[in-house]
Order: sequence, then C-alpha cells, then structure tokens
Amino acid sequence: MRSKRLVADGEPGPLMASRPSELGVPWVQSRRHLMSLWSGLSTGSQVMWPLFVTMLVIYFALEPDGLRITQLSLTIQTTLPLVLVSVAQCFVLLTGGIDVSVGGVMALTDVLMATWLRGGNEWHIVLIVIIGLGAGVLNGCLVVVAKIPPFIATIATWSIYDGIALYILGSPGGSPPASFTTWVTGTAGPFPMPILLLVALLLLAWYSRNTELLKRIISIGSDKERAHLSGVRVERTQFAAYAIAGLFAALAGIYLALITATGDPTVGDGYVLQSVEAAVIGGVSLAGGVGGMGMAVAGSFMLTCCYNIISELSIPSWVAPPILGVLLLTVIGLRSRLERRELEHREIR
Amino acid sequence: MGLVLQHIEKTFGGVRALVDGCVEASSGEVHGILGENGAGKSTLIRVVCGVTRSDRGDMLLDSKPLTIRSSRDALREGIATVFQESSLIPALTAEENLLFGRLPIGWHRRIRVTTLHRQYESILESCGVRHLPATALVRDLSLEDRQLLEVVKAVSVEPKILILDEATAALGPEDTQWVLHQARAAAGRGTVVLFVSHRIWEVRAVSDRVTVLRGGRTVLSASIDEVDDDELITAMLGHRLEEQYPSRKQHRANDVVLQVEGLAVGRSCGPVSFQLHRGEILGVFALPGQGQRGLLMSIAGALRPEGSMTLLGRRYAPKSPADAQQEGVFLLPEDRVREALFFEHTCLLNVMISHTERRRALRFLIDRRAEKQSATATVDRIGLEARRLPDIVSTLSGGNQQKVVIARALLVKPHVFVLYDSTRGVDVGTKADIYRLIISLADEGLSVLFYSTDVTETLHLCDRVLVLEGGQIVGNVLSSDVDEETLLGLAVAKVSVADMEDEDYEVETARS
Repeated sequence: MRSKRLVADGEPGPLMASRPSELGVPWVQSRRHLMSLWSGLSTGSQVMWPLFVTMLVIYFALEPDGLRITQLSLTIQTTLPLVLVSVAQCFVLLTGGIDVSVGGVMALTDVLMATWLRGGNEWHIVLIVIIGLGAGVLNGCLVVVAKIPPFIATIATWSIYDGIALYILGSPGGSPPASFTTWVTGTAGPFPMPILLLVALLLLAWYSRNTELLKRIISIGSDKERAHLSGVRVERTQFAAYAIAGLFAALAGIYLALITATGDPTVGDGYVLQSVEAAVIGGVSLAGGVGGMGMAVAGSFMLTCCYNIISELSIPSWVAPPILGVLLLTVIGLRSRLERRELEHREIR
Repeated sequence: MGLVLQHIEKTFGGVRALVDGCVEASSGEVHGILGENGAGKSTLIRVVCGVTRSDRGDMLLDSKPLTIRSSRDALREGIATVFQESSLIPALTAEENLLFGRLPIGWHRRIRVTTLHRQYESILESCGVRHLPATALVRDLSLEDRQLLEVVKAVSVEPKILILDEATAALGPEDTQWVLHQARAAAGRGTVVLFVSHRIWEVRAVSDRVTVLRGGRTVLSASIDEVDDDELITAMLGHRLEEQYPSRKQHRANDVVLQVEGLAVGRSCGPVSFQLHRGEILGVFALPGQGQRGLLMSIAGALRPEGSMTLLGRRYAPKSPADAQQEGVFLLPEDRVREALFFEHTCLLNVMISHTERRRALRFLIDRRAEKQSATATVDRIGLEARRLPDIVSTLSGGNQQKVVIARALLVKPHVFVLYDSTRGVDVGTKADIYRLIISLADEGLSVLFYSTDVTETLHLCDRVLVLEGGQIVGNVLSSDVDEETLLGLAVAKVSVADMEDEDYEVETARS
C-alpha cells in the first residue's frame, strides 16, 4: 500500500480521492460492512469470538435449562467475581505489567466484609473499597516510584495482604449483613441483580473503550519511550492502572463475600492465575498494549463455560484443569499463528 | 525573534557529546543542521525537545529564556519534533496517534469518534496527504506511511519550533519532496524549522541558513547561498573528502553466483529473473513499495517465495536467514535498530553473534581470545576502533552501529552480500567508508546486491542496476550507460504521468 499525493507549488494537494463507489445491492453493502468490521478486529478477538460462541452453543445444547433466567443469573453470579478480578488484571496487563496481588486484595476485602460490617457499621463498605484502592496505590508506588519489577512487587504485596487477611480472620467464618447479601442475590423489579450488574459492567467496558485514560494505558503498554515522547505522563498513568486494579479486585472480594455470605482468608489464591488466564484467553496481551475490559469479561465467561460443559458431560472433575490448559494453548497458538500470517502479509508489500 | 541556543554542553557518562553547540535560527526560516554521526546533532535536538537536559548553556525563544525539563514541557512550549526513531505508538490507530494528547473529548471524558475522524481527514487534506487509513493500527502501516504520519502530526500542531530529525531518511524521492515542501510551508507560517539531514542536497534545497556541527562544536554557521557543497563537507569532516564515490575498475561479467528464476512473492513482487555475477555490485533501484523488500528478503531467506534460485550451481531455497547464512548469503537489514542489533549489549557480542569461535578441545565452549582476535581484525578493516568493542551498542553513533553489523557479516564470509538500504541515516564520512568497503569486497570476488533509495549512490556504486516497478523488473541497465534521470524515469515509468510533475525531481537530479 502506498500513499499517493500531489505536490503542487504552494497549494495543498487536491481533495481526497473519492472512495470506491459503494453502489450495489444493500446485501453486498452490508456484507462489505461486516467484512470490514471483522478485519478491523484484533487477532485476539478474531480467535476469541468464534470460540466463545461455539462454547456457548455447546453448553446450551447440552443444558437447555441454562437459558432459563434463574439458571442464567446463577451462572453469571458465580462468574462475576472472576470477571471483576480479571478486569482488574486486565488494566495492569495493558500497561505491560502484571498484578498477582489481586488475590491478596480479594482475600483482605472478603474477610473485612465478613467481620466489619456488623451492628450499624454498614457504611464501612466504603472504607473497604478505599482499602482496596489503597492496596492498588501501594502496588503502584512500588512499581512506579521504587521501580521494582511488577511481578516481584506484587508477589510481595500479595503475601502482605494475605497475611493481614489471616490476622483478621484465622479461619473461614463470619458473615456480611443479610440485607446486603439478599440485595445482591435478589432481583430489582423483574431483573435479577447479577444480570444487571453484568450489564452495568459491560456498559462500563463499552464506555472505557474510548476514553483517553485507556488510550494512555495502552500507549505505555505498547511502547513506554514513545508514549513519553508523545507527551503521556507515563508514571502517572501506570499508577492509575494499578489503582484501578486494586479497586476492581476489592469489588471482586466484596462481591464474593456477599454471594458466599461468609468470609474466607484463603479465597483469593485460586483467582490469581485464573484472572490472568481469563484475560489472556479473552484476547489481552501479556506483553501489554493489546486488549480491553470487554475481553477480560468474555474470557472469564469462556472459562466458566468450559467448566460447565465439563460438568454437564459428567466426566471426572480432574479432567477440567488439563482441558483448560489445552484451551489456553489452543487460543494462544491460534492467535500467534494469525498474527504471524498477518505479519508476513505486512512484510511483503 | 527566533530560537537561540548558546553554548550548549552535554556529557554522557564521560563522553562529551556536545561541547559548544550554538544555533541561531530566526522565525520563518528553515535552518539546516549538518554534521557527521557523533557530531552532536542528535544530542542538540534532544536537548531542545526535552528528551535530555543540557549540563550548561542557554536556550532563548523570542529573546525569552526557555526552560525545558521534559518532552511534555517541550510540547507545551510548542516544540514539535519528528524523531528519527518514530514516536508513534504502535498499538493505537493512525488517527488516534495523530491527535494524541489533544483527542476530542466529549460527554463524560469519552473520545468523540466521529469528530476525531473528521479532524483526521481534514488535517490530512490540509497537508496534501491522501489515503493514510484512519483506523489502521500504526504497527500495520509501512515504514514510509509511519514517517509521513509522524511529519503530519508534527506539522498539524502548528508549532513555534518544528524539528525534523532525519525525517526524510526512510522516504523515496516523491515523499521526500513532500516533506521539504511541508518544511517550507511551516516556515512560511512563521515557524522556526530545524532541519537535520545527512543529505546535503536536501538541506541545500530547503534551508535558508545552515549550521554545521563537528565534534560537539558549532564550526560553521552561514546563509546557505554563501557556502558551496565542498565547504560544507570540509566543515563536517574537518578535512576535504577527496573522493566520495571511490573509483572502481570496470567489472567484467564472469561466472554466475546467484541465478534467480521466476521468483514471486505473493502479489507484491515478481515473477522476476536475473543473474548475479561473481564480484559484481548489482544495484536494485525502486520507489518505495515496489516489491524490493519482498525480493531481497526472499533472497536472504526471510520469506519463502515461489520460483527457483540457484547459488553457485546448487539449488538454493533457504528456509530462514540462518539457513541463508549457512549457504553464504548475508543480509544487512533495513532497520538496524530493530532488525539487526542487540541494543543493550556490547559491540563484541553483536559482532560475534553470527559466527562463534569455539575452543579446539572443548567444542561447546567459546574461545574468548580467538573471538576477540577475529573481532578486532574485522572491525579494524572497516574502520571502527577496536577499543570500542566492549562498549554497549546503543552508545555508538548511527554510522558506527552500521559498521558493527557489517563486521558481523564479514566474519561469516558470505558469497552474496545483500544490503537493504544500509546507508540510510549514515553520515557522509561513514558512507564513504561503507562504499570503499563494498568495493574492496567486490574486488575480492564477493557479489553484492545493493538496494538504496538514493539514485546517485546506486548509480555510482553499482556495476549494473535492476529497476523494479510494481514488482516487475522494468530495467536492467549497466550503470555506465545511464544517468540519474533515466534511472528515475524507468522507476516512475508506470506511475501515472498525471501524478508526476517534472519539477518534483529537479532537486533530485540537479545535485549531481
């Protein structure tokens, strides 16, 4: 592809060439539109969406009841903690970092929910959110100010947050206020709360997609030096990403405490790697610069879908982890294949 | 009125990059900055645009002191820079990149996509650029398109100071012309334009005044009409450059080293057939994007083309660049920063990466002493000081970096040497070194395939030139038979005549 232009003396070039005429039957037009939409997708999404849709079809074919609204809202409810934590993870992955302390933040906020809100102290939930944000800010400080590699910094803070959680609640127990739990698991009018929450989250994902903050986060994940040259405050943006991650991890912990109606100081451990897995399956790049909230949401549901299909097939539960491993390899393999093909395509010009 | 830089000093870890950098450029003028690699041009530019801070010296803009601590400060002060290494963000789209930092923000801090689109189109239109896809990611754009976008971005903020640092290095004649036009247009709006280039003719074509740096000092500052090319070159080098293009005895066609038959790469190139003889320097000349990349990359084993190749009488179908090296074909890639060098490692490692000296007794160990010896011998030969071997490559100037890559190639002792635009962004002195080296290699019997965007260079250095257009060989000429105009004429022959106006190439051809 070559750009064409005219240079006449002193005059700007003539107007843009008119686009190739888009006459024709509407069907052809819409097909072209669809094609351009498709090729506009990142390779991550090109792999993820067909796979996601296939999995949904398989799941609902095996379990038609899954489409009923109560069942659907239950599935969403059990997935939402993962969705929230992988959204948290996604923001940090986009900067090219990683946040393993999301597990610690989840555990901490989970036990705080179970122990702190009794007897008229319900407003403490605000404090808990702020604590999550603060945990993210601490991570940001370590990475941005102290320049500790993200993986190491957040491993350290993970154990710190976990330790505090264990100090607060030595073993599973406690309970968040019943009013909260019933609100979160109940319905608002005809709509179950989990579905509403998911819709809210998807709206947020749509909204965030075109914000300058997200573009900045993507730009530093793509190339820090260039982002700096383009006038991005690299450190401040990195900081923001970790803080947002802390916030969403806290929301995940809070939500988990509410749907389980109890607290458990070890609850976060399983979510650490799953959050990364979900984001990556959804199309977020570990190297940074590629992805968005929506991908993390979709990836989380792919994982759930996979678990549900396995349980529907009533095969032994030990089969689930290896299958997930294979799924991950397939997605990443396909994606890098597509990327390579695109790259070669680009080389030859 | 204008930009004044007084006695700027900058030392990087013991290396004095700038000793006394002085520039006086008034508003509305294009100010050319010339200098060899390592003369301090880039450092001076980096000081002005806030990437590095000077140790000493003053900057004045419109007779007011100018303090710049970061690239943000520079942007705020209205200093726009087109960097040699692009500052566009690969993961964002063209339009987002163009308006990054001043994206149209609408309802609740969301970017207004349609406004963005409209602004992008109108900026492109006002710059006279057609068809840079708005929503394509920058990493999917070609090198030339990226460079163009970078220039458009800098120009579109209507800066007080516009810095073009080797902005034309990656571009073909037509695009170069457009950049020069943009520089003049910006100056016409009252901008101070600092134009840094290695190509003297470009500086001559566009500048009002010129400053020459050597060894970190300003050695010449004059109106462009007062100095001729020889004076400029003398100022840059500190001595006269006797022969920029070393003479070469006529090459006589003898046995064929590489035979290419019906080679085709996708839709972009081919099928082409040609022969490369022993000791021949075969030039490839084409405007950007005419399939030359596909052609050279497939010969170097980076792509797998259709058709057949024969090397020294044996079938040659490399599966990878490593394979090609094994067979005796070595590629010097276009982008030495991204494709050839390990930037944060030493020169020694970079030189020895393709060729290891093993110990005689324990074959799996590297013989450090032998390694050092052969590296020293090789860099000596190409005019790079051996004491620089333990230095980190990123601390070297562009020309010396290129020498490191060439040294690597020499160690492999190839039959065919493929140079893909290797003199881009390299100063006059180093260029002459490279020419001399290529010629001495060819005299020893090495065959060279040489692609460059520079007509003069191609014509003077090569024995024979293949002209590519639209993936086809449209000319196969002895360089002694043609002049620059003919060569360019061949290359643009099929580009619609309406698109080309003869004066576009006036400067290009006038400089011989």
